[in-house]
Amino acid sequence: MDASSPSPTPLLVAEGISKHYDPQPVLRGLSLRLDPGERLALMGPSGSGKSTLLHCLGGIETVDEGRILFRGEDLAALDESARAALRRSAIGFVFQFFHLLPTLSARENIELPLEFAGVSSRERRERVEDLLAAVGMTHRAAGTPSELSGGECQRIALARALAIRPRLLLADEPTGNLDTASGERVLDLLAELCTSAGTALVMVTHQPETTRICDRVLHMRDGQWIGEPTPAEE
Amino acid sequence: MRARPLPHASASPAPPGPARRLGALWRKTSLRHARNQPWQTLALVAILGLGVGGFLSIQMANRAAVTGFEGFTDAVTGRSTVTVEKAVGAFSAGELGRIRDTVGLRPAEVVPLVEGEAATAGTDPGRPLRLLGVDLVGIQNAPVADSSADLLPPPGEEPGLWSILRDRRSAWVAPEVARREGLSPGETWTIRARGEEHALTVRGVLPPGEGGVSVPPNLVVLDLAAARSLLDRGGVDRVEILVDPELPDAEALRRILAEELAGVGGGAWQVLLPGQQQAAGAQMTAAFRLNLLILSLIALLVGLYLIALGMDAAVVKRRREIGILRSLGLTAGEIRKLWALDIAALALAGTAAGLVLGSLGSQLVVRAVARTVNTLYLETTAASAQLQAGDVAMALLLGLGGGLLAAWLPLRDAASTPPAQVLSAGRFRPGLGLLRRPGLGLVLVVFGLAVLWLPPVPLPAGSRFPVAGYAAAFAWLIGGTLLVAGIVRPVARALAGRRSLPPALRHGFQRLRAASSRHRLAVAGLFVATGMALSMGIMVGSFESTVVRWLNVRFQADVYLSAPDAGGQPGVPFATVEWLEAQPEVRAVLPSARFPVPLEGRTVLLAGARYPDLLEEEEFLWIEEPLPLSAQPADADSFAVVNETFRYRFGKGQGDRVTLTTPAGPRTLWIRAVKADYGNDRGLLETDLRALRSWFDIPFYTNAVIHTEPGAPIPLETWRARETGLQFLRQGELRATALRIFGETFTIAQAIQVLGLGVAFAGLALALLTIIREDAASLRTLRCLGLDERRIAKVLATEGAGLAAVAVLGGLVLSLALAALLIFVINRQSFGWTLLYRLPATEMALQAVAIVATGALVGWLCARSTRARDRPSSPDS
Ligand SMILES: Nc1ncnc2c1ncn2[C@@H]1O[C@H](COP(=O)(O)OP(=O)(O)OP(=O)(O)O)[C@@H](O)[C@H]1O
Ligand SMILES: [Mg+2]
Repeated sequence: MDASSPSPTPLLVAEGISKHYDPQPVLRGLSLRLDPGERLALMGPSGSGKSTLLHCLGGIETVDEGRILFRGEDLAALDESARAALRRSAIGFVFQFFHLLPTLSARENIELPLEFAGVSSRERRERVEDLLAAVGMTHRAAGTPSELSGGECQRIALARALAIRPRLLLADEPTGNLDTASGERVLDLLAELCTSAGTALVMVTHQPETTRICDRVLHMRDGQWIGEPTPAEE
Repeated sequence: MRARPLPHASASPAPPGPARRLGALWRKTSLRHARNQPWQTLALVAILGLGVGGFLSIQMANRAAVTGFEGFTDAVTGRSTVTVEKAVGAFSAGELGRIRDTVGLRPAEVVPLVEGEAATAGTDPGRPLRLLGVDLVGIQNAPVADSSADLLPPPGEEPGLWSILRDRRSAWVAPEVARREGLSPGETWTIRARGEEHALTVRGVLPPGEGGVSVPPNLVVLDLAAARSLLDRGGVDRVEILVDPELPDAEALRRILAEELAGVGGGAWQVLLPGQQQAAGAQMTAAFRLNLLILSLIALLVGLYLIALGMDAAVVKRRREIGILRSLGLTAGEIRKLWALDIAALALAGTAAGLVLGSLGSQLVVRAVARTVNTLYLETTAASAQLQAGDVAMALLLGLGGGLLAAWLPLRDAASTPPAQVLSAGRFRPGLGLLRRPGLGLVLVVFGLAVLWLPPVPLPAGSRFPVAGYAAAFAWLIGGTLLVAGIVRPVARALAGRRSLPPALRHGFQRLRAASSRHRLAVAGLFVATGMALSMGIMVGSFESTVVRWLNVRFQADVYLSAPDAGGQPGVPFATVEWLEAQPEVRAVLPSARFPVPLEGRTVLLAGARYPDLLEEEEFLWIEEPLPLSAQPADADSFAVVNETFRYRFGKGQGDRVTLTTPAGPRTLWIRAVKADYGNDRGLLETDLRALRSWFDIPFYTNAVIHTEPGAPIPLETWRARETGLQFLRQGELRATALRIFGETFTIAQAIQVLGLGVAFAGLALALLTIIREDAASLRTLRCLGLDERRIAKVLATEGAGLAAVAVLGGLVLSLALAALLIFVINRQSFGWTLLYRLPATEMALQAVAIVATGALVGWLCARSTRARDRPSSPDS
């Protein structure tokens, strides 16, 4: 896939977004463009604003300046419940610390977003079992998060994020808390599942070797791109 | 350079002392938590305060009610003496000596009295007079401020006071008598007593009474010896023990004397304390207050639950910190000390809040009933609503003691669990392990049922203590708590398994399915609080309908004739009843005589009533309907109608026989019927009046009820003017008075109920708030998964409503069980009464629904308030 040739309908476009947590600026006029199915890696030193950017892209954080278009729609123009609806149907999150719901079993964690997305009970069951099989967790499906290892938790979190078949997956250091072997396993899964569902990926990472599953790597420092020019700048 | 061994843990040259280190650590951890999360800290303090305050205000409201009634009864009777009367006959000289020996050298005076009837003889003959014989020489020493004191002659200026007092013909008359007979001191006056005329010398006019106690209008006071010879009595009728009312512990001394005298006299003497001869219904209000007290004791338990809830939240909130601190090398002991500091600070703040809440709460309660209370209960109520030193001590005990106790278990777990387990979230389950034992709860409930077969324990004073009732109540309360706490998870699990449920509801149950120790504590506290408030409602409803029904039965006649409690005639003269029967307006006069008699070592009230007229004129609440007289066995001297209390006390009902010792020899009564009677808790044995009069020498009737011809005007004023020493009351007035007394008690009970419900509501709200707030991370995750505010609100509302519903359902069952226990076991065993069991079903249903709705509303509001505070953001932040 040729990343530099812009496709006619980008999935996600960020135009000159800025954000500060008073008084300190965190994002300074960033622009970004992501095509459907494209995979992007974000790297940069700690505190450079990677997580913040990810949250803004997913609509769980608002920007001060600039705008973010998801499938051509300005996120800022949507109200909170419309943004929530977007997260229920098209945007998935994977976090460094998994954030599984502690009171639910692994299976129920995967099923929950499907329930709220209004998927029928029968189809839910099928999809959940498929995903459990895909992440190799069928045998541990009844366990609760406190009973699972970190790698197992991350695989469940991945399955949960992909259950709704999102167009965009935002992953914040998905392997940051895992040993090399588990990390590799999760990474392969991520690539595989994204490919099969045609999901675009934005992944924050500190480990250069993990960028192998991505089409592009962007480097950040102090809320700005460094090195290569941003692809949205024509 | 000398080699120095590597320091083991700390390289700092002079580590600070352990106390200072702990202090610094406390400032850095606990204090900062408090400062950074002022809202949560406030909620904790509020929960503690609610626990302490709820208990205190119920305590104070109850005290206001109790002292109110004591003030009321004192005001009604105006007695400040201990009265010793004999069931049958007069006191002999030997008995009088025993009374004097018992009183001994204590600051109290023994005043023997003879009472009897006489009549005027001169120009206006036949007017009833009440003769009172007092030891006029002895009473000179008495430390009196009693109605009897007013009977003293004015201090004489003449030298011959003693000779006047000893003069058998000396008499002092009431102002009314002096006016009507035209008497002045020094005159000679003739009266009739026992068919003979006696000439008396009027020595003075009695001073009018003080402090609302009036001198009976037809009173004539004579020396004891003179009265005895005039009335032809061998002994004295009554002995009053006057205790100096100025003594600081006069009340206590009276009580002690009464107890000792009752012991010396065995069953033969009847010892009455001030205010023991009561207006109708006083017995029943006593029973009602006992029931109130029991229920308000449950408030203590609610308070403890709330405190445990707050403490558990405090511990769980920071269990990670405990793990981290321990992994950094703090010992379990040091952690405990750190936490003791914390808990003490929290508990102190909570106790202070509780004191404020408590006095506010009780002020509200008292104000709600203030207007009526003040007319009825005098000033006592206002004073008893003040916080007293004892209350502060109680609050400290409850707040600090309860707090330490409640925090101890979760804390001990957290401090001694290996840090790794504490840190690896979920696996470590702190909190009261006891609440995870529904099996034990079941055992306790069954134990409570089994214990119900235990008989009550007789107390030395003659009453009986219903151990079974109290033991069952306690077992059910604790057992029910465990069951309800244990049932949350299974119920939620069952509901969460229903895949057809709307997702928000289902996830609400999924959250509840993993109910934390705080969920369980909240359920337990709410369960006890609603159980208390609802059973209070049943109690009030049952008492109210019983009282109304009973008063309607009791006051069926048009006019009620009796001798006033203080002063006036000692009873209703036979002649008065005959005269009344001859009046054209009167259809029937039903006199009755009643006095205590010993029976099987206890005292019962023996009464005589005019049968069968009584059965024709009036209706009764029959427990067992009267058998026909033809069924009376030949060996029985007469029949008797007994009350329910008698049946329980003596185990004798319809068809059984009772043998009494009478001056005419032993007499056997055949029990014909059992009736409900809530005015007497000693046992009543009512027989035919004619039979009674043939066995006992009865000087007068105790009272009489008058049924008038329908539609005829009742010439009450004429009757009153003729029979000045008696009290005529319209039944309507009596019933209204009795209903008013009960009404006030019910008002206070309802106020307590409202307070209990308020504590339940507020406790639930606070508990849910802390539970939900602590779980903010899960809510943020839900937002990232695309749940909007409406859906999250639905999830939390389900969680809150589900929690409340389990507690309220349990509370409903508990209230039914507790109320049944109070009515069918505790009241029956201690008073011998069965109340009507009335369920205020609509009211209860409304309250239950309101509590569940509160749960839902609090969940809903929590979702809204968390949104306002945390903008949607990553769970990482
Ligand atoms: N809620 C917040 N309030 C205040 N400052 C914040 C907040 N969130 C992030 N920041 C600040 O914004 C800057 C960027 O944070 P961000 O989490 O985006 O960094 P990051 O690149 O993800 O770092 P890391 O690699 O360590 O995760 C940091 O300096 C951080 O302190
Ligand atoms: Mg980050």
